[in-house]
Amino acid sequence: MRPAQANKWWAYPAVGLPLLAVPWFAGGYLTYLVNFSGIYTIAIAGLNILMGLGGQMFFGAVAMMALGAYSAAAVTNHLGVPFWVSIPASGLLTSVLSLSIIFPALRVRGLYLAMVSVGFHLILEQVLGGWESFTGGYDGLFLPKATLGGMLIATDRAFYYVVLVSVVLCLKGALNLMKMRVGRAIWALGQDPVSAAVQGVDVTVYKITAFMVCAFYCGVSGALMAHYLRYITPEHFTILNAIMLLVGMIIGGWGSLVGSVAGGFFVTFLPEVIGLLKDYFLGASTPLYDVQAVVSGAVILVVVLYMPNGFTHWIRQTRSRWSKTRA
Amino acid sequence: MKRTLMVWTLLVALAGFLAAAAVPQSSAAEPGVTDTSIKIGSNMILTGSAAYWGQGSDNGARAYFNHINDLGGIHGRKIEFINSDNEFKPVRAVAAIKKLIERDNVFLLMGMQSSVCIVAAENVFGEAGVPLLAPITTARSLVEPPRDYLFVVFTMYRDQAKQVIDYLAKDPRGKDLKIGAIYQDDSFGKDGLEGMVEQAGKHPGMQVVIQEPFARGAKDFSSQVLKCKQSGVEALFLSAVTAETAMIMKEAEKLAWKPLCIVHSAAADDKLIELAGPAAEGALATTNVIIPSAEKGNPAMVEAAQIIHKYFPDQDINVPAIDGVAVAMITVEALKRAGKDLTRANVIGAAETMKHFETGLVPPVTFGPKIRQGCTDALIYRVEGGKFIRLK
Repeated sequence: MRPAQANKWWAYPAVGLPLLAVPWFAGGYLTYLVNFSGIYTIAIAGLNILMGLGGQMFFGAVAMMALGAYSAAAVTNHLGVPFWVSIPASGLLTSVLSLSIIFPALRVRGLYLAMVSVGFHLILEQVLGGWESFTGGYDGLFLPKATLGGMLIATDRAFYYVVLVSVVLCLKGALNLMKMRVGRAIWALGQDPVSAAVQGVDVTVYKITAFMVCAFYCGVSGALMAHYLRYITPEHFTILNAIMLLVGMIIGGWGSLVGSVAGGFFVTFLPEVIGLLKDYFLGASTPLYDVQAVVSGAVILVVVLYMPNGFTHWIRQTRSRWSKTRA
Repeated sequence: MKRTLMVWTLLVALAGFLAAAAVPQSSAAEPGVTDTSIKIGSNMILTGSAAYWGQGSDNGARAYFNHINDLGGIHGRKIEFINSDNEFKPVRAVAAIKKLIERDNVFLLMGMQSSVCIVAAENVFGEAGVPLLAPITTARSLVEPPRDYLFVVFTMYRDQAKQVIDYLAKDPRGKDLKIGAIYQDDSFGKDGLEGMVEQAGKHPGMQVVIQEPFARGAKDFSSQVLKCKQSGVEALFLSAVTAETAMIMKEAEKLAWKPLCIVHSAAADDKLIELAGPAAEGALATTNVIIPSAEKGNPAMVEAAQIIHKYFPDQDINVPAIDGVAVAMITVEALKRAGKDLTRANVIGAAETMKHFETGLVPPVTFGPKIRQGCTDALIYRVEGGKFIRLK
């Protein structure tokens, strides 16, 4: 949304009320998908700050989500921290815990950083699977039903509002960050670290900042996931999920926050929509699973080929082309 | 000013919506059944690296349901089988179960795969009161404690281990036997290990001299195997999946050491012989479903193979496909026993009446009030001449 629109007072209810009404029209299944789209949106937004804006090839976002999820489980189960506190707290904890990868990551760049971050993911998976006394190993951990001021937040509908508020706050935060000196410094760093340094940007400090912001967002996303599913295992956070988040970010649009939303929805809904289309045309009981998987892969390929910069850039491009032809 | 007011109004509206949304949603009663049809849902690993399991089981179950439909269905109702893919991902499994219950209106669930996915989705089908019959998995967490709506079939690793130890105790070799164990260091590996240790303790001649763990995904077993050899182990109990079990057997072969290897259902598969080759010779396998290649003369197996090939001529007759037929047979039996008047409560009650129900593909199935582990018996095979031979 452009700032000029945001200043019109009626824009708030015009956008806000339909958003608030969504789960009353969608059933539990669709609301669940929307909730997960929101949860992934937050992680993708974090990744967008680090990768889209800061230009760091990082594959460890899902590992950071896992840190957030296990932090949420730990502070909830062991310290009895209230639900609403545990979410930002898990984000902060993830930022701090991620320093263990951030410092080694500072020494490498490009593809080497990608390799280091994959290593980080695989090591973390082993730790989560092996440290049974704390993480429950591959049997996983359970979380109690979330409560907010005495209200039980256990239905898809109720959780929708928690996700909605989290997404709005996180995107607002990211938007502000991008406008501030920090955001511009991270952007400069992503363009060319040498020229950024020449212009007085402390490359190390802003790299660390970008990593920690990404870790916070991924941590919040993981914590929401843990509270929503009330059950987490290392199988929830595989390297395949990391690739999926990356696909979401690229398809949404490098460095675009609106794109993060599009990316979150895309990765969550793509396989389901293909399934629903199959159900509609061929009936729910027709088995066609390999075809569905191939089609969803093909859709990703086509989207990347024809919109290499993602949805948001593609829409912007088409719009400008459209206005040119009319003029 | 107006902007602040609007933001506040939206926040108040949000609080109102949230309060209203916190009230639990109720689901419709007994959907998925008409006078002519029953909708049955499942969720299997149908794509991805473990798709071999899901595709076989999907074809097996589907073939058996088709077969029953061709015979006229259950009390005049044809089965409509709606399977779904979880790719071994818990987040997708939860979505799929929500869809099956809410959009497809399935009457019950059966044959679901992967215990992680089942536990993740349990919040959904458990709260909706939709029974899950005969999931294709072996995990203690699904039966301890027993849940009203969850009927597990396959014999746990722990019970398989106990059975094979009892079998060995009757053998002359079992009178004075030093046992060693190599196990995967997690709840899966320990389940089999604990059963073996417990049961070996009951037989005076048997002695467990060494227990060596390895981390999930390990590729090198030389130190564990060497330690077992040095401890004078005569029988080597392996609580691991096929690939790791084969590697351990080959490692022993490298040391020119020939202990009596004992494997359980996670490794008891033709693939083991393919991977381990001559190193698997003489091994004992305890398992919870027949090994198809060893059952050419078993009438239940021959019939299952015919049914599968009638509808899916290209499907191999392997363990996943036989699993699919077996769980479909148990589901159909429960529905038959529930009678014409189908409710979910009736099906749960009917399943509880199964006592030593024989499929010929898995050990006899027994359920009852508070009994949710159907099979506790195990089948025992030995590898001879590069093939499994049924012993028990």
